Amino acid sequence: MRTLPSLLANTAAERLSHSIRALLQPLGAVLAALVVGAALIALTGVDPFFAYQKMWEGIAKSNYQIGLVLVKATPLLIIGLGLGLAFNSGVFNIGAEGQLYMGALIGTAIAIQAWGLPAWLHILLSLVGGFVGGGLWGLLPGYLKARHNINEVITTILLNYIAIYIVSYFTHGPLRDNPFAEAALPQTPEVQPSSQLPLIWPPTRLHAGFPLGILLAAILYIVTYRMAFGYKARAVGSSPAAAHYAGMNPTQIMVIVMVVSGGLAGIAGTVEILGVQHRLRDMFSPGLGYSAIAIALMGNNHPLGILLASVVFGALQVGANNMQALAGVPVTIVDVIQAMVIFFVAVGAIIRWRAPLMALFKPKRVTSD
Amino acid sequence: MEEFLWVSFLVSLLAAGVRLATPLFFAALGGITNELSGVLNIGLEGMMVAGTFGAYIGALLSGSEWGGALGGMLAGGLLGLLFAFLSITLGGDQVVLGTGLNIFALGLTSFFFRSMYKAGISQFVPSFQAWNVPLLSDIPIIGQIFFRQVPLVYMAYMLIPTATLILYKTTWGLELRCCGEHPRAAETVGIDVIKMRYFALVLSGMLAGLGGTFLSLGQISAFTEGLVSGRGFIALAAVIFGRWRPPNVALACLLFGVADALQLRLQGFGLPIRYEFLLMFPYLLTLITFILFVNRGDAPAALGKPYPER
Repeated sequence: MRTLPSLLANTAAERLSHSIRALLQPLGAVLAALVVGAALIALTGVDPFFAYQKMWEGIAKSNYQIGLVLVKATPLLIIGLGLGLAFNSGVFNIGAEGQLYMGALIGTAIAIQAWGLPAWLHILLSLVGGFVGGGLWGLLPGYLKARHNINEVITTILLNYIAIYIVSYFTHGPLRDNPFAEAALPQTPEVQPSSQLPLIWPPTRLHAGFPLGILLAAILYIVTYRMAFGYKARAVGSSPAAAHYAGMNPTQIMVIVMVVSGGLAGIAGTVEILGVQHRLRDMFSPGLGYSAIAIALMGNNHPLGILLASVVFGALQVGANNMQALAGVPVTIVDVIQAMVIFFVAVGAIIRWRAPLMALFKPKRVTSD
Repeated sequence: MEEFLWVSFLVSLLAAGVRLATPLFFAALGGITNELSGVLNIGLEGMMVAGTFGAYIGALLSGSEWGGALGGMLAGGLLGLLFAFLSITLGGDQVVLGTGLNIFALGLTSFFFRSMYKAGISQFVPSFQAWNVPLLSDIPIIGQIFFRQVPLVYMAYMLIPTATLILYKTTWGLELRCCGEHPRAAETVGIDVIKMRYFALVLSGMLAGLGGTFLSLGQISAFTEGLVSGRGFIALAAVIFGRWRPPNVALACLLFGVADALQLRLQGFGLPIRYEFLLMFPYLLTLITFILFVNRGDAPAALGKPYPER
């Protein structure tokens, strides 16, 4: 899947077909996964139609809920963009969870300082801090993978656990709010008002992080598909040896990709604090970095697909909360659906199933399939 | 007097290390099997997770811890079968699928568990009790460390030589390793590579499931979410650290087990080290050993490559 020739598509028609695929794939995969999910729900003795009805009502009940969907989609989108870039370059970064934590740590450490800065500068500094924190956490596995061919899956996952404990240390220790109160929760003080992301659609909770995510998606699209660096990164993903032969420096490209990938996860973590939680808490992420793996794969590693996939999963999460409350179906069904989406994408079932449809959009070409 | 305290500290540390190493070893042995057959199984963690829950259900239904072990192995084996189908028959990327498998196992066990218990607290089920091996457990120090454990630990001891013999001294073991070194050559001498890899993955799932069983029925007698928390990945690192040889891998697991036992004990010591760093220690140790030892060569040549080639 990471060596799909279409990743190197560069004619306008191929780019268009790639974009359409990026849009269709998330929907196909999630529909298939929802069908299996219905069977699981039935297995626990709940009527799946009733459950899914409650899920839908939870999503579309009001503007407030729709705002919530986009709030939930925001971190998934930003992390997913970075993972998509890494996957395109042949680096299977599953360390986004740790990179998110380290980014949130540095970002929050800046955001809680009462420096009297104007809001735009304080927010910008915090986000840069988040990028640096996440980027540094991606640098080590990226370097080890690129320079010494050390499997990034194992190193990144171990770094996840280490990052979570580092944040745990800071929220219990040096950055703890009111450390002298006996019952103080393991969390930092509230971030300064000057660093909180503004709400953009009151009275919903939607904050400026979502448009930031869309901006980042546009930038990632341009970098990946319109600039030399993106072409090189995808070439390295297809075949490092061929890329090297063509005069590129796969080592350097892989390291940069991992730093950017980690940095985006770090931004996502910071955005989550500045826009939603306003304090860094011990174990604050419900596995966002893992969910984003499904998002990136589902979106075919394409920024447009990732945007759509993140909104779909934001909706599933918000809907699943309603489904849990009113139909008694545990929210963790969303994780199962995510995993099945990964399966579907990995085996390319969707691609094969959609092949006749895609033929309509594709330039005439003889394929061996 | 002080010397006596040190000895008893070390004995209890090593005994706990052996106990904590056992689930790692079961999973690692599974990892050895599938890696020798040429399949990279990142999903070992998920198979352990399935094992913790399958064991709980098995013990609940059968009223016996051995029924639990059966349930744990069944759950892990089923995941192995699923992995085999997706990666071998449908040809999906092994690393991507393995990651999916981990999310799948965590989500599914949590989904079923929370459907069963709305409050999120499980019942107590029969669990494995320590059994002193006659005579051997009376040996000073050695007996205290190795022979006052639960039966699953003794099973792990027996698996070390058994697995070494099967994997490295029998025709079947040779055929299995052939599949991991050069599947096409294996096929030409009449070995059914696909069948071998299927078998290896199911076996791997069952062993990882037994490792999961140890976590829910060997240390506590209940199920909670997050029992495995990375042990599958530590086992994966132990496989590489131990160069795919069961005795060496067992030693690697023992190292990580002792590290875990040490951090648990140091937490009670009131040292000037924050406990978060102690909790981090086993993962950090795994990371460092992994980085230092991963690229020493001798990994199965076809590891992670799909067969037939696509």
